[in-house]
Amino acid sequence: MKRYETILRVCATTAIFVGSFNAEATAAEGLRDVIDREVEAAWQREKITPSPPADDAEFLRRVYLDLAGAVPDYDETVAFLADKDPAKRAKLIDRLLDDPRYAQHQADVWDLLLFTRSPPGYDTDKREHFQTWLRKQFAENVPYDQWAGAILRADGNTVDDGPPMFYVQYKSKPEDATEAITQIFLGVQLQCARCHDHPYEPWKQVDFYGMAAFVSRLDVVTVGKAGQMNKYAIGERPSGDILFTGPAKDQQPGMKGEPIGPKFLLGDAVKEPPLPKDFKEVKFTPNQPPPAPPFSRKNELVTWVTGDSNPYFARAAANRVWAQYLGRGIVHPIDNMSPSNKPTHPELLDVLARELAGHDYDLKWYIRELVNSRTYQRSSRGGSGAELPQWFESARTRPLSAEELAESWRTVTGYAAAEKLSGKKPETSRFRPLEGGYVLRFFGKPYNGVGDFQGGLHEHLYLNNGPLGTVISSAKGSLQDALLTGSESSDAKVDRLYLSLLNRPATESEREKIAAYVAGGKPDERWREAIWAIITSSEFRFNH
Amino acid sequence: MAVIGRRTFLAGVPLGTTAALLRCSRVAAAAPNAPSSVVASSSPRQVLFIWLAGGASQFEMWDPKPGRSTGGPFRAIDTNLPGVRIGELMPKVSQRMDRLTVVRSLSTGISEHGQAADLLSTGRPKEPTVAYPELGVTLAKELSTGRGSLPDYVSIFRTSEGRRRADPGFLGAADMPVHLERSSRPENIERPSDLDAAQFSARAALRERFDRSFLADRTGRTTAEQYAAAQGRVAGMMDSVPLFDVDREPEREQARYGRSPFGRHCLLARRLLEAGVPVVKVARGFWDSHHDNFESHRELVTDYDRVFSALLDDLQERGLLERTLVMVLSEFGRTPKINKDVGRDHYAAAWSCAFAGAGMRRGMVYGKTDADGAEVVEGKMNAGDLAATIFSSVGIDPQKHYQYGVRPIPLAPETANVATALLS
Amino acid sequence: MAEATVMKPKTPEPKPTEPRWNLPASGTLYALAVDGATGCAYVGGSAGTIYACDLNAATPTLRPRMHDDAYVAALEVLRDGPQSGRLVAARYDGSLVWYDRHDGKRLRITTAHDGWIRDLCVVGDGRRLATVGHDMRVKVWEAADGKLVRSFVGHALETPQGYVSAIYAVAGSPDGRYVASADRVGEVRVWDITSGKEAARFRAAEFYTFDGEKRDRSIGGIRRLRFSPDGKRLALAGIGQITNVDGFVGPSRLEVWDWQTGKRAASLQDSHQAVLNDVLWSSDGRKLTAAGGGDGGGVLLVWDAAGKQPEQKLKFKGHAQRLARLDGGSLLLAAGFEGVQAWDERAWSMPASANATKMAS
Repeated sequence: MKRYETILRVCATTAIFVGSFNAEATAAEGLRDVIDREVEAAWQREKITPSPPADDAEFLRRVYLDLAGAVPDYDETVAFLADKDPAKRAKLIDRLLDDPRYAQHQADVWDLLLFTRSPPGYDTDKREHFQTWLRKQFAENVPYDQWAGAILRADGNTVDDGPPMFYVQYKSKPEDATEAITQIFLGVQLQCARCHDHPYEPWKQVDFYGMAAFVSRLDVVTVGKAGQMNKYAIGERPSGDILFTGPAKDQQPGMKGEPIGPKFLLGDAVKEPPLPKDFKEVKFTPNQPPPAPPFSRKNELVTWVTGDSNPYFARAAANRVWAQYLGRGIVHPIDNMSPSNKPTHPELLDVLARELAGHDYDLKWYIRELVNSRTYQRSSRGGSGAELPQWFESARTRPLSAEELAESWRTVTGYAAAEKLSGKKPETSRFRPLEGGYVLRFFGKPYNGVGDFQGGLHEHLYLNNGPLGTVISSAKGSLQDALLTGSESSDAKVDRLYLSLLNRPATESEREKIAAYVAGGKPDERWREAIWAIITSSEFRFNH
Repeated sequence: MAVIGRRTFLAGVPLGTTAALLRCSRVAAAAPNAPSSVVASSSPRQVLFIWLAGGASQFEMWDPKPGRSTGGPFRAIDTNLPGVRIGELMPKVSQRMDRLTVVRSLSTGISEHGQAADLLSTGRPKEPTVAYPELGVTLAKELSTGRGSLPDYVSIFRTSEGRRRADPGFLGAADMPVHLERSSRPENIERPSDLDAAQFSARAALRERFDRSFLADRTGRTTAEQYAAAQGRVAGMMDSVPLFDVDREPEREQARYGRSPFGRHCLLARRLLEAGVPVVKVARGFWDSHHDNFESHRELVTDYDRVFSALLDDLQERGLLERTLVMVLSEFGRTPKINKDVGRDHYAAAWSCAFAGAGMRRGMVYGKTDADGAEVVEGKMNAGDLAATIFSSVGIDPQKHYQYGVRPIPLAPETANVATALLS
Repeated sequence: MAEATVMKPKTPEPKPTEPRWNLPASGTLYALAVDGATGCAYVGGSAGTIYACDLNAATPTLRPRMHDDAYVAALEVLRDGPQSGRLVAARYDGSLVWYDRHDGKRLRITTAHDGWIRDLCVVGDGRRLATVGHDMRVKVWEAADGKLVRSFVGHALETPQGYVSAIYAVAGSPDGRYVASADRVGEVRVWDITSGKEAARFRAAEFYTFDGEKRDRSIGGIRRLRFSPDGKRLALAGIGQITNVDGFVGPSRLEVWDWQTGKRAASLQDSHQAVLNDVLWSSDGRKLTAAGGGDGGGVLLVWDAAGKQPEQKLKFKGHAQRLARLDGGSLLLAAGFEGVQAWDERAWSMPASANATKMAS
């Protein structure tokens, strides 16, 4: 085991400080160019034929979903496709990065990561203040290391501030908090080491508990109420240790165990100042902000996690955000950046991590570079058939999230436009007119535990027989209304149908199919059924 | 010396039990990742999972302690197994004990509802980073024939306390059971009222044509193809509507199950098992008798006795008992101490569960508690052991792995011991 | 929630009260009988043991007198004639047992019901006894020789939803002519011993909770009923609509019915979350004293029989199952969880500050 530890240290050092000369960006080159150069070099090496570049329509739908969390509407689609400006893609990217929906979408992505769809109680289902705070971080483009640090520092309370909610879900469970922190922010899975020394990774059980010691003194303190909602703060006791009793299988009742002090993962132990002689254990008083401890282990952890001296933070972030746009991580799965799980493009990952850190963790800059790359703008046509191409030779395919689906259905059917036109104040639910609980149940967890898409029978039953019909509005301003009452030619109507629903013109054969279908029955019913058939199809279900 | 010691050890202990314990330790000693071959010899192909939510009392059901201060007011009655007595509230079950397997030695540690329900229904305590699949989900996945239009797992729970959805965990939505919550019929199984059958199929055919052209040259087509293929099961599922209608059963069948929702749900479960659904779960809630425990159990166990006996007879008459494991679990049992409100509180240190049908050795009572029912004195099993034993009984290796990322996850915890004496 | 149909007057929190005596026993005591002639009380319950207690002693104590394995549901002391001084016990094993209270000897044993006997009472002048049991029968017995006089059948074995029911309580009219019985679904029947016919029937439905949609449990019930001293009214004790099945959480509830007309004379409900297991009339028929326990803790309520809100609401440690008064006196006894408690009722008529003593420990 000792041997592995050494190897990891060497690897980490090499990766961060030596890098690869080939991958260095020249003065004139942006990060996007390095990306393309490195990815294309790998194709040469691996003898891979890439997919062609994505056409404008393919790019448009993809980038809207990836940056704004919804597809464009008919007018936006038509305008973009007609635009002759050669820089229109870059301009669209800039516009979307400044769209309020960018902040909302990013907040959705990170909120899901930090809390999952079913957090373990303790009022974590009522975390709108956390979500608002998170949205603000993206809207103001607060550097990633700063807001990640704020979550881990957990100052203030869950209502007036927000961040403490992250720890609230791990109330009295420092081991669980440790697993989550290392997995989310360091891209490392320590959970095996919780019960025994890891069989093929360098971390041992004592490494796990050394990390757990940083958060083992945290307590959730109720500091007040806002209406019906409790305000929680995170208090840190000045003393107390995790007792380590060895492997789980050797546990016996009554074992006392050895205290384990805080120690950074494969790093240094933290020297703690001794407690004063007259020290008395602190008891937190409800409705009072918990006093800061004389020495905060938690804050030591924050400084280390988000600082330069740990080899994981920047790489984990660079890899995670890369995967968000390119489908898979350069290290994949993204939260398992262990020595035995090698990157596909090691030099590129080094550059990404270094550049992200060098740009003060400016995520907007980083994302702009990613989506402006030729690599991101490949077509998803052709290719090997793999969902997440390993060499990034084709664009990935990913299912839409529950939020993206609800928003996109509303946009494409003109439900949203009709809602606006009616002048009535819309309901506030993000899932309207569908029932949020149902949308989340059927579409909220699109992946299984290993990241495989799981669209199943339930989803199809919902789409076929459930209340999806309510979103296919026929009110003034809706697509159905335009198709029924508009004076356009049949071909123009089919084009409108496709440009609205799939953000692309119809093909010749599609024009024929739809025209024949509409002619085969009552037009109002047939148009409605055609809309249904398209918005439940695979082409709509996925971002490709 | 050693021989004498062993003989002394065996004196006074039923031989079968001791042998079982010795065999358990052999299984435990095997390398944790090596597939063990401890599986039942004639494996059931279906499972009926009965979940008594809230925590049924072992004192009033499977492990009575009459005459003790912990025993409560009910008597113990003889059963058709010599020497085995159960609570007087189950006179019908008592005459069918030869078809049952009772475990009186569960010791599962957690006595808070949510956490204990997670523990018992997955075999493990809940972890934040891995959502383990519920037992029925795993059983359904393993027992699925992959044929036909019926779901692999139907879970029936109508009362609010039984309402914990069986979570597929890391296995994901494809393994999600069909939950019957708001009615006894799956949701979204009926054609929308504004479409006639011709419109419905025309619409579906149009959609299929779109899918076909989209899938033709696409990255990720395998995933998208699977997605599109699931649409093909919709029609078959919709055709199964009559299966969920227990009113189609003859009067006589309906009468013997009684009119309680639990009875109706068990009758529905039998229909589903007969039609070939691999796993069916029926939940009955409100066993959490902190107050008026004896009144509660008079009501609930009496109904349970009638329904469960009817179910056993019915399954047997139809030959289903030979291929079905019936398992009856709660999140925990109830305290030996009777509290001031004539209630019993949560108790996980010593409690019981029951099995019937195939897979487990019939007519057996496994494990033993002390005179007051406070401690397990023989055959102690934790939730992991129980899960491992259940998997073994249906012919599934409990140490079979599912791959979760880089992490191989055995179906039951690595440390779990199979109680081989229970296996048929 | 069904607020509109349930009268829920907001009353103050119960005042803590300390009993004059607290006599510990193990388990739950369900049975309590007082012999006014001798000043002796008898109690029994889950342990099967019957204890005697001399209330006139300087420090009364419970002394075990008789023992059988089955729970003791109810006890009565026979007073007049040659039977005077005999003790009758009703047990969960269905047996009705006559004891000599002096030497504890068992004089007679009768299998009175199939299943538990839930309640026993003396009828009229004490020549007869009445019992109710899980066979849903109401039986009247000659106290002298244990001969069955009547066996009334009428209460349904099952609740309307098909679950098992129970008769919890029986009471005899002061003139000895009627017995009244009450069950889980809130049905009360009054039986004429002379004619052997049912004399009245009504349903106090508020005592029964069934919520098929969410819970599917048949719970609640009238836990005790007592004739008024003039024999015209019946007081019913139990629990109102239950909001939490597991904790058996619901409001404490009494109703008074004019049984001959089948009209409800008073509906007395308090927000204290408890089941009232017993109720006593004052000798003038104007006041009701009830006690029980549950989610809100042990409670003792004194009500004007025509009033809306309790005059007294006292909190004590434990959970009372049965009440008795020493004849002519003001000593109130409550048997229940782990013992017997006794209060001097005169203390409650004093100003509030005088009886706000600390809680019993």
